[in-house]
Amino acid sequence: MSLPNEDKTKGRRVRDFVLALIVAIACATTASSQTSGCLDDAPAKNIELLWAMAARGELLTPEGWHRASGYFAKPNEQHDDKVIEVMSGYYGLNSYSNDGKVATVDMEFTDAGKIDSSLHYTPPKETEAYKTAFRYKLVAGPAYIAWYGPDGKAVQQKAIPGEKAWLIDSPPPRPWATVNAAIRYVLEMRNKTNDPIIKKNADETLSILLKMH
Amino acid sequence: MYLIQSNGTTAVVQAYTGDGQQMWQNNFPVLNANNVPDANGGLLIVENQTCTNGQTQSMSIVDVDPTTGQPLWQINAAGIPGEGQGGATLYCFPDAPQMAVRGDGTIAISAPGNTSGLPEFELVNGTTGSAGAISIPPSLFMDEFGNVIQGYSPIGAPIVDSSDNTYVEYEVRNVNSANQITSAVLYLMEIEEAGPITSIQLSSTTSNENMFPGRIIPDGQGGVLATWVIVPSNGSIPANPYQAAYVISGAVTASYSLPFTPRNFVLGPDSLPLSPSLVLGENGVAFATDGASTGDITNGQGPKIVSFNFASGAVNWTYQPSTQSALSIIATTSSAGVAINDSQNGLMQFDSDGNATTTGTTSGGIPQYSWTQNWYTQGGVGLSQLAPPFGLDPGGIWATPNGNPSQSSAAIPLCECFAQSTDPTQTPENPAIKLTSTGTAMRTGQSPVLAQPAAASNCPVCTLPAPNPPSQTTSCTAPTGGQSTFVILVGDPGINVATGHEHNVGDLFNLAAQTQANSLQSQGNNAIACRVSTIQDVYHALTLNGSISGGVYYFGHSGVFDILTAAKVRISRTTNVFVGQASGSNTNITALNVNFLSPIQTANAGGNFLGPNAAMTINGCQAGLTVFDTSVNQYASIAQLISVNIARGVFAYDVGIYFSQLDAQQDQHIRGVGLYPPDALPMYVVPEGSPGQKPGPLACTPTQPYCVKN
Repeated sequence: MSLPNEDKTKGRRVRDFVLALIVAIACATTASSQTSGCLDDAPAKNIELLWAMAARGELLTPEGWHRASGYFAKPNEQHDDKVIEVMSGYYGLNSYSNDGKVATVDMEFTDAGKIDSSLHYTPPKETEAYKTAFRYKLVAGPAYIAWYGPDGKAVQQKAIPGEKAWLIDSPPPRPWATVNAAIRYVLEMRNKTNDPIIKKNADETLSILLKMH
Repeated sequence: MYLIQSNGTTAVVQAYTGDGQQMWQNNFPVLNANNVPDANGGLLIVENQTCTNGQTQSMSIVDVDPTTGQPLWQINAAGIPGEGQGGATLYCFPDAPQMAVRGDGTIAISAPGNTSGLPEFELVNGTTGSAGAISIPPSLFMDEFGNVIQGYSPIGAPIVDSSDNTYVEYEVRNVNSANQITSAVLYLMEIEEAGPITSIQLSSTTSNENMFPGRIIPDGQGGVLATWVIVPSNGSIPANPYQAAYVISGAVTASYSLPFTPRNFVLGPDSLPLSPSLVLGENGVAFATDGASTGDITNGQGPKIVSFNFASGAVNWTYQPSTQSALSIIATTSSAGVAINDSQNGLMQFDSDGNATTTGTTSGGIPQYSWTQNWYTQGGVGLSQLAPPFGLDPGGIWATPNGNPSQSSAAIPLCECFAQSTDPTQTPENPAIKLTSTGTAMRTGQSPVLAQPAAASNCPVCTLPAPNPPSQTTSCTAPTGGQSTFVILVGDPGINVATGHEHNVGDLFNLAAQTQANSLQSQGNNAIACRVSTIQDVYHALTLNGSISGGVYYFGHSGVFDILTAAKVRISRTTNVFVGQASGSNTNITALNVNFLSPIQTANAGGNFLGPNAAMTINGCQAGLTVFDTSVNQYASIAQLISVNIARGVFAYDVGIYFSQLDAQQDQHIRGVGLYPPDALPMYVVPEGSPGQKPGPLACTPTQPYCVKN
């Protein structure tokens, strides 16, 4: 049974369109795209996507962390859920440069504290700075596609000739979330625990985070 | 008022005054049914949203001028090259773009469908038509060769709540080569009026089923009810296919099934199941209808109108006629009930307890009401006005299925005077002015989404909008005439980004600038005040107001900008002038872009726009503070660098500043913590320091390496 919006003719159209989309995406992610006229903003988009994951709270789950590891050249598959960093919901690209091999992306943010495994909130260190930004250095490496091996099960990878992927050239930091995602995280963790101390910590943390929303 | 008549190939749009006089009439290509008014009285229409064999015309979204009927701007959807007949470009637009209009005129447009030719979601400037795409995460599809490719994620219709925040749902799917949905996650994206974008997860599944986005309505208190439809891939239908989540402060506080149990889906023109229509009633009640039904699985009856609790989903009452009836909600009523149209029984009104009153049938289409609280139907002979059969709810912020009488998917009550809100964020708080650790003056208790306080009287600067390039490169007060010309630059008020970083000062920079302007004018000078949000705005303000013989004053944010590694280790420190409150390099004046100002030296017919005796004074925090600026590997302050680039002296503080109604000589505070200056004149920017010994600004000159004490 096809999906309601995917009859056979439309299915063909969908596939064709997806292929067209892939061409566009490849253009956007090609490091050597200066020669093709494409604006190579793929490194900045990667950072935006990573932060979008943080805003959705996806970096707080092992599955999300695993997916986010794909943005790093030296991924850390081990999800550290002991402490999470909280960042302001207001963030945005500040400056960006790209020489085709190395890209630098500054993501403006405001530190909003951290939450430990007992849902206790610690405020951020005071800073003299009016504004702060994270600087990400990204390097271009080969891009891969995945397909199933001869046994039909094992996923294998193959480099795509001429295509490059931009990866963050530093180890992944602690998992982080924006304020809204942190509120949802604390709500969920509070509902899962029977420990009265953790519940109390959660209530105090929520009262602080809700003021930041 | 607009009347649109279409014969399938062309359309005629007529504009009428409120008393029925025709203003203009214009012909357009075929239009769809999703036309909505813009925020300026014009009309947003969608042309050529069709998919016909050999179609050669692109779909367009056109903004029509309310006074002339002529297009103001338009957005054209792209075709798919090579996929049409004989290898031509394919123009096929089966799915209608969905639009919601913000109070500031911005239009949120979602473009469902794989072939829409538009960004899946975008915000469009209602004045210029310039668009900015909002990234929707792609779904992943695996082809028969095992390649994982990115593709379209289903998206719903956007809405705008009463705080001008925009919401839209989207579903991110993983589909394997057997066309099975291995996982699907439904998200709700919120775009705050001030800019931040967040998405939260509403639901997820691994049961080979879709969760197609449904309707969203606001609760009037900062929360929203987001709905969706569960559609299994195997063609079955769940017992409760329509689901809802109540979202408050970015978190799902309740999820429940909407009380509909249809035997079959009723499909819309896009072949997707129709989602129930919703309106917001009073006292935490919402009304919903599934419109049409081939039979309820529990009793064989037809579609329903239900009243239910917004927060819990508990049903208050239900009206369910036979399957012959088609139901539509018209609007909520002043008796806390709802008015509906039943195709079999005519217009009906239900009170808050579900008691029905039938008021008869009407000729023509389903009645709609207008902002003037008149009722109209559009039939074969044109537009007819009806006697109001119901008392409408003038304070209802989502009184019709599309929000308001304009059907613009925005939360606007029929009459603002009746609007009531218990939303604490909507209650103006007493602004407190204090200093951050950086010495930055700021106002506490204000959200960036709140409207600015009412401007003080006699403050023309307070009413200046930010420039809107490229059509409006400057936003300045008119020259007053006088001996010497001074330009006063006023930056953005700032945004409250987190606790301890509440940068929004409201009108205080404006008031300080107005005080400066009044002082200069009283001395017989020509004072021109300009709002600026970017370094380009600063350049334009300094080069498009003629020769500046007197000097320049800047009132706005400035200070230290730290760059950190992901491990929060500081790797760079600079001082910046934070002209604008948005992110982006051009919103700040930094060591890396300050040379953008240097043409000021020669742009005045080969000379400097700033006269030989003109200097610039930066009334902001720490712009004169010398730090080792790692972006240029030298000790510098942004004030010093500005001085070099404009070839004139610059005065700037190396300490923080705060606001006071007394000037620096008279103010008796060390800093601004706990001060509550009113939104009134006069207003002064005062440097931190002991009373009577306040530091003056440092003096920076083009030829010296550092700013020095004056």
